[in-house]
Amino acid sequence: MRIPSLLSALLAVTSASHGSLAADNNEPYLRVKPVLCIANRQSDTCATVFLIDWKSPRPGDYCLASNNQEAPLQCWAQASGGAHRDNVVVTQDFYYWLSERTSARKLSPVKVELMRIHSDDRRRERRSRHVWDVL
Amino acid sequence: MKALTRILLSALLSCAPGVPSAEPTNGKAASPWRIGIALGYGERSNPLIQSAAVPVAVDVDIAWFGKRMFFDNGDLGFTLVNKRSGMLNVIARANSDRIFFGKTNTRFVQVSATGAPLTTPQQLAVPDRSYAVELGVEWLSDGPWGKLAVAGFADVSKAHEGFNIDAEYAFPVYGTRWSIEPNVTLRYKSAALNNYYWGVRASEANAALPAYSVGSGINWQVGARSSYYLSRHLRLAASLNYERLSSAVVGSPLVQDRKVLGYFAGLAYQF
Repeated sequence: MRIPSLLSALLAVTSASHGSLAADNNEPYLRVKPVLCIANRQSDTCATVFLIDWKSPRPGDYCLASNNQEAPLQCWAQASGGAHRDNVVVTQDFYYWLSERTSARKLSPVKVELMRIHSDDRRRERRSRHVWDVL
Repeated sequence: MKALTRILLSALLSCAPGVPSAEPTNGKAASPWRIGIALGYGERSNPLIQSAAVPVAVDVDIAWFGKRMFFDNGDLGFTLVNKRSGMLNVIARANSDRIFFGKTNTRFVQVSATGAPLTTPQQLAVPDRSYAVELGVEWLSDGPWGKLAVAGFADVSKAHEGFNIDAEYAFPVYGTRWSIEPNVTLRYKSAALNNYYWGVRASEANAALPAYSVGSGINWQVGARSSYYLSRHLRLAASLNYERLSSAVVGSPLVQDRKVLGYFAGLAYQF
């Protein structure tokens, strides 16, 4: 694979992983950064600020919600876009989504994953004896 | 050598039963397998004379972790003790010094090792060396202060008949999507080990390559490896290592560089 093609593929992977896949053209597009959060070795949690923005092809009354709290994080009236910053201590995978005021349907859900790259099994934490010590 | 063997045997005999903890990841039991591949470019410099750096474009990670037994990229291990304070494993592995001896070539020289002209050209070649199978124990410990590994290995294949002791400290730091793990290592190698790989025996010596006996010494190494996660499985990975060879080894006529520099950068995928 040529380097430009590889870079395009990489960009596609990273950009696709931030946003929702709209079910139809009328559904809003929701983007969350980051969608991965690496857990701290001691607390097993990840504290970060999520930057969330959305756009909709048609203005409406939308609310942004997440699994982390029952009440909506923010609501907009007759808007076709918006942005929100969410300060969260992530303890498990969760979703952000939009919903219309008149419906309970979850629109454009985006999953945020808590990633644990350390292990309780010390054998998996052995320094690799690879020449390059990469993996 | 005998002392180290005694230490290994007493560690084996005195071990208390301990079971490595099962590893839950996001509520799921971890697979006993760890398989990954990295594609990119890297090199490891070669301190030997008439040698080429060892290139790498692909790095494969294959490991399996059972209740006590494990296989980790060529290392075969058995967990003797697993406590909150640390873990003791017995390990069988191949010695890594041999890797440099696969990338050398031969040439004929008309000047001796002392600089005097030679009447007939002399062959100057790095002698062949064998892999050694080593048996040893390692102690792994970690905490908020970082990770420590102390290991001692002795040759059980009668190749170098020596031993080595390593102490390695690493301090991993995690960001939201990245990790970096700087480390420092001290590596003591016995005279028998050093002399086997880096010495020149009388039978190998000529006017261009004088006989040389190498004593014990301590290599030190600093390095870091880092990752930027593109997804749960895919990441950009880079590593850099600088190893300073002991002065005992550097004095050998087989050695032209006192450092070993290794680096790699690429894409890594963990299955």
